[in-house]
Amino acid sequence: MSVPHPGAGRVPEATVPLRYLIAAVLAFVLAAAGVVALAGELAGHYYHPRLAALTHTVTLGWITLTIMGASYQLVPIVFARPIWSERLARWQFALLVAGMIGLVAHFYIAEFSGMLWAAGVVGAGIVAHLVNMAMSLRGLARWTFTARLFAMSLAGLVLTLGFGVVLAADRVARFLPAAGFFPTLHSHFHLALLGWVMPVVLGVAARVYPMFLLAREPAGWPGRAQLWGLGLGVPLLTLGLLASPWLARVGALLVAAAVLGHLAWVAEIARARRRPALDWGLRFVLTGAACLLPATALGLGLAFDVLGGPRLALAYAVVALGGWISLTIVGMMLKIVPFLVWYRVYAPQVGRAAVPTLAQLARPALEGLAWWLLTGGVLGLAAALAAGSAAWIRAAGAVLTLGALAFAATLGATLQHLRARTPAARAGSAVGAAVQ
Amino acid sequence: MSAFDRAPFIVIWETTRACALACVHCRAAAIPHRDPGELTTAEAQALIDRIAAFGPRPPLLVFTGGDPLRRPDIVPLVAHARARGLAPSLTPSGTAAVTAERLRALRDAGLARLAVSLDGATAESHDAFRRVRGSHRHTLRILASARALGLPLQVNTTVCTQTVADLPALARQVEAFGVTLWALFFLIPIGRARADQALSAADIERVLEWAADLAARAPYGVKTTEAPQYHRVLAERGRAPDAVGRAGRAVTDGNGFVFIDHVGNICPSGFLPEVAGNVRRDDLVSVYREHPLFTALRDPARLGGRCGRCEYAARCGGSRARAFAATGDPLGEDPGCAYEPRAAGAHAIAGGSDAPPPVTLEQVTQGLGTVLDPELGLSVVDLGLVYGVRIAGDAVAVTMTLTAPGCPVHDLMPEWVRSAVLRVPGVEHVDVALTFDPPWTPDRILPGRGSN
Repeated sequence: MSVPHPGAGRVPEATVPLRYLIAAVLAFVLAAAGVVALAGELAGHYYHPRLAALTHTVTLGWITLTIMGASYQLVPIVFARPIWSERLARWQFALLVAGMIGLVAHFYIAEFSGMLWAAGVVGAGIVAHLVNMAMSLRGLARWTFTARLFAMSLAGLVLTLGFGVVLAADRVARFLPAAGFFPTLHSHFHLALLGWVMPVVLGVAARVYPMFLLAREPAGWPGRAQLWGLGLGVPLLTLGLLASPWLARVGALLVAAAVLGHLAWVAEIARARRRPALDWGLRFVLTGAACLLPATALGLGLAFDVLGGPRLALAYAVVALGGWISLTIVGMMLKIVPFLVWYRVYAPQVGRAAVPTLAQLARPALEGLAWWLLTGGVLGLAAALAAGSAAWIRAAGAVLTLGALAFAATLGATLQHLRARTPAARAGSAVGAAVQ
Repeated sequence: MSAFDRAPFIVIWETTRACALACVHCRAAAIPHRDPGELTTAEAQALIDRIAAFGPRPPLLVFTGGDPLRRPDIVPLVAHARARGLAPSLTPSGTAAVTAERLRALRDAGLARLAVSLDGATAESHDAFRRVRGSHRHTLRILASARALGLPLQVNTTVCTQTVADLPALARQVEAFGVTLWALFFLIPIGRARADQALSAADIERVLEWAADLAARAPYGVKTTEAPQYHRVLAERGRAPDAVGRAGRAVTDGNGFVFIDHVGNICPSGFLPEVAGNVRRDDLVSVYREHPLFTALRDPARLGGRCGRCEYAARCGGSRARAFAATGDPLGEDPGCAYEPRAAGAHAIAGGSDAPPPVTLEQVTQGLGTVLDPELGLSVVDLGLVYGVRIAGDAVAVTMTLTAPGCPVHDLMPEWVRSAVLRVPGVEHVDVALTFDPPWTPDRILPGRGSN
């Protein structure tokens, strides 16, 4: 007789994370196309309302929606805890999407009072996520490495939201001193990158990379480097950006230590893996991890004033957001979305009918094309931004857009299986729709 | 000694007789309100504990009614059953009381299967049978909600003169619902059911032949209740019962089957309401194993009429409830069977030369090898997830693990394994125990079986 593990198997309906992930992919394609459209602006200074619109399409629309959607799938798996409220997750999604559209649109037309209202709606969506995650993790018995980093990321999200609201309000009320705006903006960006996104990626990677690559879960000093590096480094970097360059440099070194610890683990997992062949999802993930090296080097260079200027700052942002995070997310989505579709469509048929494996849901050729285009596009875009060439930025943006479309097409092909269910499943859905 | 002498295959507990429906065939003659004499929560928990004591392979437990959702403690009772290692199922009435929230709560409490009654292919025919308008709509809504929640589904259909014409259309609908099992309940004239609603023996035979054809091609299992001759029909075709986690022989009143009514009376089945004890004063396990009524019902040599002469007596045994309803003798001939036994002294044939060959570890391992991890494309054997296999006659116990405790297929894997092993010829019972001690590591992957 099977004995259920507490909390296991209580994954939410597949449509909950899927709606976030699908919206995120749309934002990704839009952002890539935005690079082409805004090549002229990108060749100049990074503080431009339209570039703020582009940046938030990436950070909120693509990255944050993905992390939040994936959280609804991964929390029950990684922490064996059920999601506290699927209904709240659906409301949260509506708030976030409505708020993000308003935020990006108002940034684009530089209408800041409307932008502030939209930021409030986004804030409400983020608060809903925080409540849902906090309640889901309430009473967690074991605060593992992943759980600690996950909690840290939620704290980072709170601070990112706080700084974002301050900046949005300042665009209307103008209360920040002139010299304080850019430090606050830089803090907001780094809290999002290192306080919100990095802990959750590092924490989840430590659990799911070994699962995907069939390796032992990593241990040892790299874990401590990640925990302490981010736990101390991000607050110091934030304070330093606001008040003291030296403090920022100490914070940057600590964050670099965390990155080193993460890369040491990724290398160890990849070396000891029992799965010799890498599918494209795993190649994306490993390529994303490799992008951390140039991103960290650029970040340290900027922190220590070895490098400077808005072009290199933009290149740094692209290598971090487009290289490390985006390629990692693409890789993870190529694992998560097929599973969600398979779980919804084929899992109930196992043992009663022939069902495909997850690999059979994939389109390797299309995924490979997406890898070449996205990797080449990101690196090309970083180089074009560093050079300040609008033409090259446009060209790299076009490559990136094609890559994003190829990626979206692979997911679209997978999602087609939701329609191409067995006759029984199709008819069952029709019955369900008819009576609801 | 049969495995059913030690433990029933299934225990049905009538949690309450309260029900908002007024079905024309109702065995329980359900009432609108709860009976004050129903088992209390504490008594119900004690009952569940005794059901678990049938172990090491405890029976399936079905919470039935009336409408079990009329009990406010039903969710905690499901959780209690799950905590005791049972696989609880529930048969709610098709009413507005079955909301998605309640289904979710039941799922989260550990409900293993939801069984819903559907007795007509159209709203008119179903509602006429259930005598409440809207019941069909609620039933379809419940099926859709349960399916969306990932709850394994069973559809129950009463087979009688009023419903038999709808069966082909129902078969198509059942496929559409994506159910695991379609259970055909052949009407026994007790409670509100009348004798003229029951099918004749010839009609039952025709339905069983049709069901056997259906089972050969349907993506779901087909089982019968109070028509054990279905196993004879399958045997005549050289087929085993469908492998959907079911017993390999007929489960009949008192023989693999025990029923506890809403006030705790222990009966061979709900259709054979002869009281052999009461859980408030008697031990369920002892009553099932030792009470003369139960032991007689499990002894094919005690059967009378054609059932007593039948070469399929050990495999089928006839409907004891129908014999009782027709003659007052639970050991008498089943008047719903059209079969004429071939020869006297057939018991020796049924239990002797027909006996299946012993199940081997190699066969079971081969069956387990068909269960793949969907992400890795490796079988549970290649991944080293199987910690142990124990074979005892027709019963197989599998102890296994998963790659991680929170594995998303945690709730599905045991059923996949069970289905795969049940396909091994001769296997009739499969228990799957999950353990995370010791935890799985990649070192357990069989050499040379890294995934590509």
